[in-house]
Amino acid sequence: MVEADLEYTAVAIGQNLVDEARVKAFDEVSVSSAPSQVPAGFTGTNKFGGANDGETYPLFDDFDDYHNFTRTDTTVHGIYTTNATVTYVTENDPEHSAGGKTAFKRLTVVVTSPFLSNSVTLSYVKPY
Amino acid sequence: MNIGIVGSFVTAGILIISLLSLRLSLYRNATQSALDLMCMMNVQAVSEIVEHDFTKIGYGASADIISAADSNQVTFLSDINDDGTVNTVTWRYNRDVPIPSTPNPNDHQLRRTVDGTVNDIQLTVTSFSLDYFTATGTVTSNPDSIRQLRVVVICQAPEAYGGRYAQSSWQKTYIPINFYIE
Repeated sequence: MVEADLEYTAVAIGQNLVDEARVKAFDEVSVSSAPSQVPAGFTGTNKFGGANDGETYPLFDDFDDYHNFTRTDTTVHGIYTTNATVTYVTENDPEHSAGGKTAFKRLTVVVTSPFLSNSVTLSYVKPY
Repeated sequence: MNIGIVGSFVTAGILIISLLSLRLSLYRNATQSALDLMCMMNVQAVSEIVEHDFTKIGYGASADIISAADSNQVTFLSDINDDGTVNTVTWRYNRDVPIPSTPNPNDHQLRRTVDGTVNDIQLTVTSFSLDYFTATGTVTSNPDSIRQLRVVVICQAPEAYGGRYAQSSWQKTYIPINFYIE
């Protein structure tokens, strides 16, 4: 087996978590209705994470529930660990965290394996 | 006989045998690497076609997106060519149809059908399995409840080397976004 095999699977696992998160609501306040104020009405970064909403995986219902989330996948190539973080970004600078709430959230997914010499990182920006 | 000459012959013999062994070892490694690479390229080629189709599951369709789903076969609706026409796409791994063009007895026919047009993927696929899940990750076989599909692909080399077939594998769980668009 060559390392490219492992990396290919790592990318697939990372994409899967991104796919999972992107179909969720943008924010807890927009799960069932529109927020009263955008972006001021959105959840603050200190309240990111499913635990803050009383939700556990796989029952997350909004995008930032995946903040500080870790998942382990067992594959034909061994065990992969996926760590996710969510932050607010701006439309003009999606690479860096915004100072406050915006209408854009970036999910960063890092996939590691004991058999991979380098981790695989993917990012996805979800607009409101 | 001069002991020095005998010693030279022995030394030269050992050196020649060592060089031949090294050359044989390099040849074996090169052959094994070539077969590994071939398997990996086959897996990647299959995965690219799967990616093309599975991410578009349900595109343009309004209901009954998946009509058949088991571990060997999935049939779904999708405007697969983005031409405004919803197609019926079937992926089927025929475990009872071996590929006659290779000596590997483990590879079988992987068939992609779009509106009755058959396309056989002859890439030494020795395993193509599908599993289905609900939105929360529970295993399901009910086509109406499927929101995620996991595909596992294994390709082996067409010929054995050193008594074994080189192989490469890949798996991915798809969450087609069209399931979530109302």
